[in-house]
Amino acid sequence: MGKNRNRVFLGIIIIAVLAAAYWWGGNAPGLKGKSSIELNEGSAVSVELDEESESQFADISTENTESGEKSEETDEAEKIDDTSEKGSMEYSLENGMDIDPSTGVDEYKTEPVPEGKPVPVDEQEAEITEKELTCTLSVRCDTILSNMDWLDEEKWELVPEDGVIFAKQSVVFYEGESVFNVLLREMKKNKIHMEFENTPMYNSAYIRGIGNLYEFDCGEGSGWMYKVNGWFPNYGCSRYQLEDGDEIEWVYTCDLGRDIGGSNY
Amino acid sequence: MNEFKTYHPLVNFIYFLSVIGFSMFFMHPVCLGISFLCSALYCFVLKGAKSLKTSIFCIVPMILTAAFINAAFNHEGVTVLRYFPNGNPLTLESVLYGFGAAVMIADVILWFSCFNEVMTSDKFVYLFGRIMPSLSLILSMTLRFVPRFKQQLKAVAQAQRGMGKDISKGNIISRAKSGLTILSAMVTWALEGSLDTADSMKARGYGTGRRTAFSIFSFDKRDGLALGTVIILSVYIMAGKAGGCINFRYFPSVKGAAASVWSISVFAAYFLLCLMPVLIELWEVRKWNALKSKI
Repeated sequence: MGKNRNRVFLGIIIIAVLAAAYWWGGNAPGLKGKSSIELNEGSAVSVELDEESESQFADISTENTESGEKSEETDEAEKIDDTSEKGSMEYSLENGMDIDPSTGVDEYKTEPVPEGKPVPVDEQEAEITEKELTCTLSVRCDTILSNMDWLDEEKWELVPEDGVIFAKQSVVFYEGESVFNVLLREMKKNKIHMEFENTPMYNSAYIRGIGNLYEFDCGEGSGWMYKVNGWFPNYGCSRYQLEDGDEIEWVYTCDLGRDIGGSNY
Repeated sequence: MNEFKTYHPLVNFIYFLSVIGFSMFFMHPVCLGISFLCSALYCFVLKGAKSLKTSIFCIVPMILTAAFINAAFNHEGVTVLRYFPNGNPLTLESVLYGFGAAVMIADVILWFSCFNEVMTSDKFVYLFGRIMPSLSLILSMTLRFVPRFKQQLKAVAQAQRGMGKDISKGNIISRAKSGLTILSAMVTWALEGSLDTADSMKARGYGTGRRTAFSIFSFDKRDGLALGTVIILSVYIMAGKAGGCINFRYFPSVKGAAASVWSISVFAAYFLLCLMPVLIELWEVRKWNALKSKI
């Protein structure tokens, strides 16, 4: 009898440990259960929840008014993103994307791009010439400012007060280069730390961290994303071939892109 | 020559539990240094210079390799030294962290080699025979199996050599052939031995009732004193760790807790704890000499 009771206790302890690991280990819905999974369902719901989570952390966030303004901005951005076009199969095929009709994605799991957007160019096939062109580049992490409590205390000193790691400026690149080439060169030149990882599955570099701010540093859904001319491409930064005058923005997200209006999920 | 070994198994076990535990969790360079120094010294006292030399020969290359490997795969840290050919940065912090982690592994290896010398399997069975009888039995059998297997391997290899099948001579194919013969003999021997053991245990009534273990360990005043010292020092060190005075961070930049009277006292306590077996040894030697001269 006593033995059986011990077994039951052991079972309960194991289940409790597993539940705690599930909750705090990042598999629970939202950021450690703080926001909700319903964010996926639509912009109206997500706005409500955004405000809710904003007010929840209002006392801890560094600059209340600023974060409030920001959330409005993001809402607008989200609406724009929702109305923006879905990937167009005909357009992508016409422009030379090699999409497998049975799976609907190309060799590197990229879905068709929306109409009017550039199709991915593999860096192995890109021809880089001597011709100098310019684009603008900026690196920002202002979403962290409103989620400081999720960030490890050791990293607080790394976050600039205005959230700007690399202010928007015009930089030179050579025709045929990708977003990744530009980021790598500029970060090296300006002595800003940057780590990446090559992912053969997507044939692209993945930016793990800029300025020692890494993926997963500010919640389970955090990391670096990029947009070019306001659009978050659905493929890796090594495959985005730049054109003259493009505007590259690297932004840090704390919630899989939802807080910066670039959810591809 | 080995005074700490004669202490009660509980004292030995608690001591190694706390020392190995602290070595595994304290990444402060001073703690790593203290632990490394004391474990190497104790290894020397226990096993002599030759054994220490071989372990140092293994450990130093390991430390350097680990520092290099960590820097090759971990690029975090604010101090960029230079860039790898693919564009990722080589940072000072990752090198230092790799170095620290490697010293930590070395500490633990050295402490465990001392642990094996002091905590013999009869002590282990004495301590854990009641709480987890089958586990401690399996453990002591397995631990015994390794040296026995080694011995038998030597014997079989020698016998094979007498028959002209030398694994150290000839081309690779003939060597592999004779090696396989030895292996097959060893496997047969091990299987047969396990069956024999099982039969023998059954014949002696294993599993029919509670088992008792013979032991001659007694817990006296000396053991109580040593155990008390270990526990007081450990609690003080843990309080220091919980209070954050021996914290040290490697990323994103190297920064340690400011030195204070408290942190220095914690380091002193840690040093005393790590050095305890050696101190006991020295004390015993002194006592012995003092007694001898009186006669």
